[in-house]
Amino acid sequence: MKAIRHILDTGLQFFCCSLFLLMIIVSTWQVASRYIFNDPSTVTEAILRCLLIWLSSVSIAYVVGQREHVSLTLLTDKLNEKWQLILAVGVEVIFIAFSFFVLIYGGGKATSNSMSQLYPILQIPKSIIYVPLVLAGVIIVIYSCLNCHSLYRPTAKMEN
Amino acid sequence: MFLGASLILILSFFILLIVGVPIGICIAVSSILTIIVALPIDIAIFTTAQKMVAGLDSFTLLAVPFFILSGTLMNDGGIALRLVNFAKLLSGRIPGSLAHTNIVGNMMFGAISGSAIAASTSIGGVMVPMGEKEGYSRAFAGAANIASAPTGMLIPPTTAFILYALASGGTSISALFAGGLVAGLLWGLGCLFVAYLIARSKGYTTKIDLDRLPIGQVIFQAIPSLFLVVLIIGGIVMGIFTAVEASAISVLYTLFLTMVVYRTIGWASLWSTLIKATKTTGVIMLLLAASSAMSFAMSITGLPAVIANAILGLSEDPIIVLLVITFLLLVVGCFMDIGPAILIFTPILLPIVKQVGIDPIHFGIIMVFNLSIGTITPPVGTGLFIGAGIAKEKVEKLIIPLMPFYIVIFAVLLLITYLPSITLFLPREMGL
Amino acid sequence: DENFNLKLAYAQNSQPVKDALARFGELVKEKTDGTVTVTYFPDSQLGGESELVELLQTGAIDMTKVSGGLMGSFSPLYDVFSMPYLFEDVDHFYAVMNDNKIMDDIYQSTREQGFVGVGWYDSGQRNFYTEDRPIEQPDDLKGMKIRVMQNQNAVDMIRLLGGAPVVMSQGEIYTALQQGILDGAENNEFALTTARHGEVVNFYSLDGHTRVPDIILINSNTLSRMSDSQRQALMAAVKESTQLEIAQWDAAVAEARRQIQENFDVKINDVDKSAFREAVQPMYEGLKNKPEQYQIYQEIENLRAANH
Ligand code: NA
Ligand code: NA
Repeated sequence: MKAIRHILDTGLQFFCCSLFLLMIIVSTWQVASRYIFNDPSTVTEAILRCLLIWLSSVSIAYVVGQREHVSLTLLTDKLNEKWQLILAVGVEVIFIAFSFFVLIYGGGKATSNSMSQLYPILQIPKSIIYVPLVLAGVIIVIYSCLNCHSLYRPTAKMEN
Repeated sequence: MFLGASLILILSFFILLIVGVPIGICIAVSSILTIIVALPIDIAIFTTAQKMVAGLDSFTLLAVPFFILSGTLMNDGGIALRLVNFAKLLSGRIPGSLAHTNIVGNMMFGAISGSAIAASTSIGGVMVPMGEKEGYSRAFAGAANIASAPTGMLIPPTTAFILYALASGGTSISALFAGGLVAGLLWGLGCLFVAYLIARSKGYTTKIDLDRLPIGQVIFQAIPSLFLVVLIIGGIVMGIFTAVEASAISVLYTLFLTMVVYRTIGWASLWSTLIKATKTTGVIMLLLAASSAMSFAMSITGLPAVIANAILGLSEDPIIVLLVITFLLLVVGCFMDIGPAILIFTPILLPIVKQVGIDPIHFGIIMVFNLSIGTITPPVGTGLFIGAGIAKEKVEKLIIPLMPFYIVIFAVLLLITYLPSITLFLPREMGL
Repeated sequence: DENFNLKLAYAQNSQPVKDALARFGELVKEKTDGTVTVTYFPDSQLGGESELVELLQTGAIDMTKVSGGLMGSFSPLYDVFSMPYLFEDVDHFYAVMNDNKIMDDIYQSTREQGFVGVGWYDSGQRNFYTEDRPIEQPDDLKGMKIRVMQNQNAVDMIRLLGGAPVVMSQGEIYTALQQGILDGAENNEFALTTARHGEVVNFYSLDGHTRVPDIILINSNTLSRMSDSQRQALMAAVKESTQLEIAQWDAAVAEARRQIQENFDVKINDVDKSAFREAVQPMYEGLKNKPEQYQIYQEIENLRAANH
């Protein structure tokens, strides 16, 4: 279990950091091509929008794995350990259900629906912006299962 | 339909919130449940997925991860300490000087990073423990840090105005930035005023020993950090890049600053900084994506029209309309983070205020100011939680020391709400 | 007949379009004895145009009205409309839009994606507006950074005319013109008045490079569930609302031109299109590689001959 989490963590870290750096390079090129070379790139805007959606979706999923999405804990802090555990598992179950229905099913349908639609300028199927949603769904399901597993072993605290 | 829909929306949101479901998921799930009132369930689910992506598919939003990254880089790259030393020069002779330094530091950090959270962690992280050592009460030091952190959301560059420009259908970001600068400075001055009164009454007379500060060196070290302001404003004014592109340039400069000039970040720490920024991006982007779904849920069930009729039915006098909206937003701010609140409520409220003749730039500034207060009020307030963590103090214990700050900030809010020329003067003068 | 309450959503629009869409709702209710009614979601309440088409696809909404320029990403046939200097004049344009033989193929080309076209509105002609100098011949565009929509034809056109196309979202144009990031942009009159771009430019050059119609779309499933008489009533209502829109549009454009000159202090100049038309010929050569689009282009050309 630990190994799966480690591989997933590292993979996603590498992916997101690379996207971040790529986005900086492309944005800089957008400014430079226009201001310095007087030949504005017409594709950078569309590329950056795509990259933003990919970075956002995957980083949302990564944060689920780290259990760091912000929530209100004023009330849950006051509960005893048993109830805290129940609610924590409940939250993971909601994550799984949400991923399954909205991200995987909904995102999948959006992907197939937009196969015949072109993302302007790039001239590739618009599905390119819905695929990361499905991907995020799959990652969240895996992470949430891992989170549940580590919750059920109270001696072994969360790795993170 | 709207009554049932709004009931479902509010109830499901709060139930999920209270049991500890992450706020982004609360927003998304309550949106689906609301959309079901108007559309079949499979379409509701599918539409939610679509709206979440649509909410992210915007060039303007690119500024969000970039500002997060530059804020994190500044945080990890020791820029805070240099600004703190510089702030000491400005506020070191006043009673309660450490609190003042904290406030001024937050404003300066806010002026170079697009992220207010980064300000309160990096400046407050240095200043609050220092104040404690000097005998300040932890609650007071923490409160001064928390109360002044949101100035970073008003002093440009800021994500909040970028989101407002997006939600309002293309209001000028530069004009918002110029107006926000004045609002942010007023907020900061209000905090300095409160800190001064409290420090005097409690006898915190500790003054920083300025004679022992190497003034030349302090200024010399702070100049490259503060130069970012010149670079960004200069670049925008000279037409080199847009306000959105400026966020990328800001990252580029901060990388240069921390890796080459200060040499506080190496390749290994760059990796961990990027990972931190990725986490913050994930947290915020979930909120923004979900907000887009909630905005749709409200519109498809006809909520905007109901709210508009309710407010305009009360009065069409701009003074009353603004007052009603002010309180509405204060309540919203208590429960919702600033990003989602801007994305969800701008499309509902902007048509109303336009109808009574209020300038969209002015409204943007008072809306962001108002919702920034929400970031430091319970029960949901990122700035409050993070600030409490830094002060190592329970949130409940910080509310009383925060009270005088709340009052003055609220007074400033009323001031800029009813005297539009205060905030509109600068953008108009600059021809924006 | 089954009762229908059609959800009709649209983005930000000028008054003639809003009025015509409102009239469409009244007409369709009248003509179907109240069995078909319309609920409106105006002013981008439910999202921008490309989102609206996707909502239409799944049946989350029943009808929408979007720019024909956007439709190119759903069906390449619509891309013909964004070819520069395609129409001789406004009469040629109307003749094409009212020609069922041409338009039916185009309207039906998105059937498999879950929606079809049922009619069109005039959205005027797009012209250049610039800061430093008026555009009188293609050479005037040399080195100028001109904002265009996310559309390959628009990009190609600016390149062939000698300008530097900048792809930028609508919301950023005003500030970019003001900052000098852009030297100009291109759109119909309302961009200068309603979006107030007239405040930051000095010249509006009537070269009329494109006339891209707005297209009214309906979900195929909704349409097929209607009875024959309901469907005919709906089509008739669309047609009548188009007549109203055209009539109001002309008056609105005339008023906008007056405002552009008097309120915004922008100079309007006429343009001889022949050199421009010459310069973009390579695009029509390229169209031969897209037989379906080329065929529609030829049909449009035939009407030019018939009209003049
Ligand atoms: Na800021
Ligand atoms: Na709050």
